[in-house]
Amino acid sequence: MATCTIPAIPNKDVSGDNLYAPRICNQPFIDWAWSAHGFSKKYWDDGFGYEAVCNNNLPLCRTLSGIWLLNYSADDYWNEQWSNNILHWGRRYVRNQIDDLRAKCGDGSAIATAFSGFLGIGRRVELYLGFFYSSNVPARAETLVHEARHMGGKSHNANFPPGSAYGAGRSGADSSWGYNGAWMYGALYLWWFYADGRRTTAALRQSARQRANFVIDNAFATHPGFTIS
Amino acid sequence: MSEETGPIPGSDTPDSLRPGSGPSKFQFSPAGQVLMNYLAAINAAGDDADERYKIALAAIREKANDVIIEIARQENHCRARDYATRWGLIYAASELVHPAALPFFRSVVLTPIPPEESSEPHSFSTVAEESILRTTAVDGVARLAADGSKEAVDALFDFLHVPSLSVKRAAVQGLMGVRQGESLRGRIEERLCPEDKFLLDIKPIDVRKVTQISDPERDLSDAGRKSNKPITPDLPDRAARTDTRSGDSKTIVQGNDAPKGK
Repeated sequence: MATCTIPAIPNKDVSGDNLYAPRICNQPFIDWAWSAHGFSKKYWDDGFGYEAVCNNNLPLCRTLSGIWLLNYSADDYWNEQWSNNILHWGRRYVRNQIDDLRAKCGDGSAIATAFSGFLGIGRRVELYLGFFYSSNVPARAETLVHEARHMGGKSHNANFPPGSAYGAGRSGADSSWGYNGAWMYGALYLWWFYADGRRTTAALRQSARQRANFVIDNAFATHPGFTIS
Repeated sequence: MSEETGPIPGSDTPDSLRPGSGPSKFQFSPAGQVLMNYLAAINAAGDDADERYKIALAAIREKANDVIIEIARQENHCRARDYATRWGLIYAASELVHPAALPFFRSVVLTPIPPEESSEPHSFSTVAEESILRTTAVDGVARLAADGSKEAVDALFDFLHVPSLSVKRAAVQGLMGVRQGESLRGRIEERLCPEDKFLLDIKPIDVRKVTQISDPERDLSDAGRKSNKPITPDLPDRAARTDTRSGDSKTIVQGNDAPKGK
């Protein structure tokens, strides 16, 4: 068993945790999210927040905040038809793909890993300290979308291009926007959140725009040729 | 950061998380207090959130010359890895829309990005986070340039030499966005190295114009396609209005070990 320590917590007004935490502190939502994403007490207690689900210093609350954003940021959030845009069905895709969601320490900065059932490791998504404490709330939602796409069977298929901040020549990029990979899913979700996100703020939408543009610039072997207006 | 970490990813053994030290207490100057009030208001909730934000924004703009000094001081004192707070400070500077912010933006953008600290940048990248801070600052400069600041235009040209694709892309977009920006194309092209000239052809577009995911259901795994989980519960205001729902939209979840909120 690894033991880790809660790092210094960034400003919770800026990260969105003070906005979203009161919203997740609602028993019907907690019950639903817990079941729909495969949380289990075993991986979310012992400091990760099971005993204090509304405490936004702890991983469980901060994860549920990302899930809340993912589920309620479309104006007509109840419309999750696949024919709509990802702001509507992103939540459906995530809950359909993630059946086992675990909190772990990680290496201190890692965000998340999707295990899609190979190498003898059961299907699950692990979330690490970087997810809980380095990402703001929209970025947590984006991570869930990204990892869900991996659970959908889509691996990265290219190396990062020259000039990429992720490390030119390293594996982990998607070949193109049209590959419909995890980077595209995440960036498109953030882009829609920026353009049409509701029940949120201008600042969080701007942060989503910056993050999506960064992904567009750096995560595709061939630059898609556009940026967010 | 974590002290005793480094398990093998994929281990079935649960981990343990211990409390860290509490937040530091600061004494703020009047400008610092105004800034703190603004940061508290940018993501406020409630019926009066817009009004609170407008008041807080007016307050930082009224003291822009002092507030920008406070922003620079606080950003300088932040932990390097406190990206959320640092981003909020840079965003606050951009919302000043004041020429006094230009030296701060220059400092942020022109400070070299530290080498990657993450062993797995695909999962988490310090270079990515540092780049996002800088593009936010570039966009702050672009707003000043769009307002007619020649100094801001000069700064955007200087940013074309920063060794970051995203910074250069944001600077190009900022320059092309000023009045008669198209007339700057030749000068921009001169400054860009050959492999970056494609940045001039990147088009800012609306999300509705970009290629979408045409059939997301097809992108599900077999298990995901068969999944039949209850949909998200309605928010209280809608739940109160819709007392009957179709069978597949029931959201009552019973019998799980979910934690208790209150």
